[in-house]
Amino acid sequence: MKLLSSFIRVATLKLPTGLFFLARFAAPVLMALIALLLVRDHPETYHSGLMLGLGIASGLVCFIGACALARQHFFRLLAGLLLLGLAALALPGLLFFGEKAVHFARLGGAMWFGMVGMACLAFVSLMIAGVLGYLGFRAMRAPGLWTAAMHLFIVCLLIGVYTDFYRARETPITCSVGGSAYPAGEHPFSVQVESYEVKTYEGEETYSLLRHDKGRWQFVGSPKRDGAFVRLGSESWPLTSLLPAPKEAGSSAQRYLLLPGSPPRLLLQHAAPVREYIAFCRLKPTINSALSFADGERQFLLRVNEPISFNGWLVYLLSADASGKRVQLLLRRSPGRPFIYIGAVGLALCSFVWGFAPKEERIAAA
Amino acid sequence: MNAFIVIFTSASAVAFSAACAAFCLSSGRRGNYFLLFGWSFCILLFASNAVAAQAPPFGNMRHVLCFFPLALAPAWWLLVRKRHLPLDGPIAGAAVVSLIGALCMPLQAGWRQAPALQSPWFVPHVVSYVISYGLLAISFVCAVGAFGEKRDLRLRAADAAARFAFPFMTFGLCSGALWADVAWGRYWSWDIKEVWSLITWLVYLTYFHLFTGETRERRGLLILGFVCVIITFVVVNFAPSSESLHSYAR
Repeated sequence: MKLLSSFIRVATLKLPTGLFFLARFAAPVLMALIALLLVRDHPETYHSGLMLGLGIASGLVCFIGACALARQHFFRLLAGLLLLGLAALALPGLLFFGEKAVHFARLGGAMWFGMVGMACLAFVSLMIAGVLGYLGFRAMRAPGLWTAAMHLFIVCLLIGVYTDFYRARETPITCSVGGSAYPAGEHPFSVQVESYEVKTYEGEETYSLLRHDKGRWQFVGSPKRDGAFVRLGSESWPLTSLLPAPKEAGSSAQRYLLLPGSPPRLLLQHAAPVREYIAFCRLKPTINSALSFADGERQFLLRVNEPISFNGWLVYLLSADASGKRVQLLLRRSPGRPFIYIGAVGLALCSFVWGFAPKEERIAAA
Repeated sequence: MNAFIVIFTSASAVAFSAACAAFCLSSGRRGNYFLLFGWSFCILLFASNAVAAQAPPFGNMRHVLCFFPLALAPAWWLLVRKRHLPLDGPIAGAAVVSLIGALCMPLQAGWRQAPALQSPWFVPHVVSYVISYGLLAISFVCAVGAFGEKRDLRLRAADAAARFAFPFMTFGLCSGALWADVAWGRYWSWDIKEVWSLITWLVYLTYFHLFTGETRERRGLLILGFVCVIITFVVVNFAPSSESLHSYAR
């Protein structure tokens, strides 16, 4: 703490020279980052020592920049951010404790009790959020503090990124329906996909008509479905005459109809676009695992965009194959996740305050 | 519905062209009427696209180009009505260019929302990027238009537009990362579109860090930044060799 306060004192003493110096240092760092992103485009480059070094340099410049921008108000900045953070926590807190209130009401058998509890909780949490938010905004009213906060959130984001870079664990697994997967490594559970479903947009199948010419199939047109028929111009073919396509025809072709003649033609029906993947899974702790579930296992429904989390692990459904046999899952442990979320949300919010602030405030900040 | 989409796109393009012509002939009042007509047609176009796609119509480039003039409306309100900057003409011109671009592209009426796109982040992510790109297009037009001018009025307008655009771009970048975390299990995949959007953000960040220089000296970065926007939005989508996680945006 003593070291931190002396560091802040040194960084903020030589203003505005320090800020100009920092800006002139920050610009080349940013340009070097851009150059590195431009020159090499292989993903491995981004994990190279140079990129990691530039990331650390950016973090340091941002932190010193935040100290310089906050001038003598650095602790006021921290207090303001803390108050605003607590105010922002009011809503999740309301949801969390509201759930508890409903649970207790169910135990007692009187739902009105739960509703009264929810109303009281909502009132109290809104009051707390209002008071803390007001105090937080008051604390942040010194010139340059929002810009300093932006820099601090970038530091927070980078801390999360580096934590994940060194500590995150990712295991992609392909699971057969009905079979169990025991991910290698330190996973304390096994995953079993009980069943899964691929929902498509009904009636959205597309058709294509091909003609055999000069030894290859050439595209002629896209017939449209019209009731029980498929039409292209004056020609039409009944849907019932289409046959199931062999697997060798490719994953997108579902059914086909060979039209004899000279030259021969082929009508193909392509699968409708996928609307949703749903997988019903079970997690079971392994023998040496410290995990324990109430019924010996945990069951859950997985959807794309809706990973489930438990005990620090996240389980994602990435995709599934059209044949209905294999599901791609991802198991992940991400210790830097809270830092990245706080950093990203804070950076976005502070940039709006910075962008839409009155000009005088921005000039003072600069 | 496809016919309605073509009609509304053409009608709004004509209205914005008329607005642009009116502003060039210094008839601001008529120009404003044409702008309002153009935006009315754009709202109808947006609704038609939404009905055809059965989802918020932000799934491909044509959808985005059709929405682009609507995203310019807040920019017009902030910069022209509130700050009295002479940006009516560039705003109408940018709307015309985007609508002509939309007319030149295939209709893609069969587009449906893929599972990964069915997220609460979908609309805010795309809308924030479209708003920021609209503002940056105006900023670019002002920066280029200021060549040979002695007064700094246009350059200040360019600076103001870029300053309004930057928060939206930051939000787009951050929301994209958080969405990718939920959908794909990683914040950042070094995908070509992600890399170029980061480069664009860094160029504008550098622009704002060079606050000691004259606006005139920083103009080059504004132009470079918009070149990066074009690469991110257009070139990356159509580059034949680029395999991208954002390929559904083509």
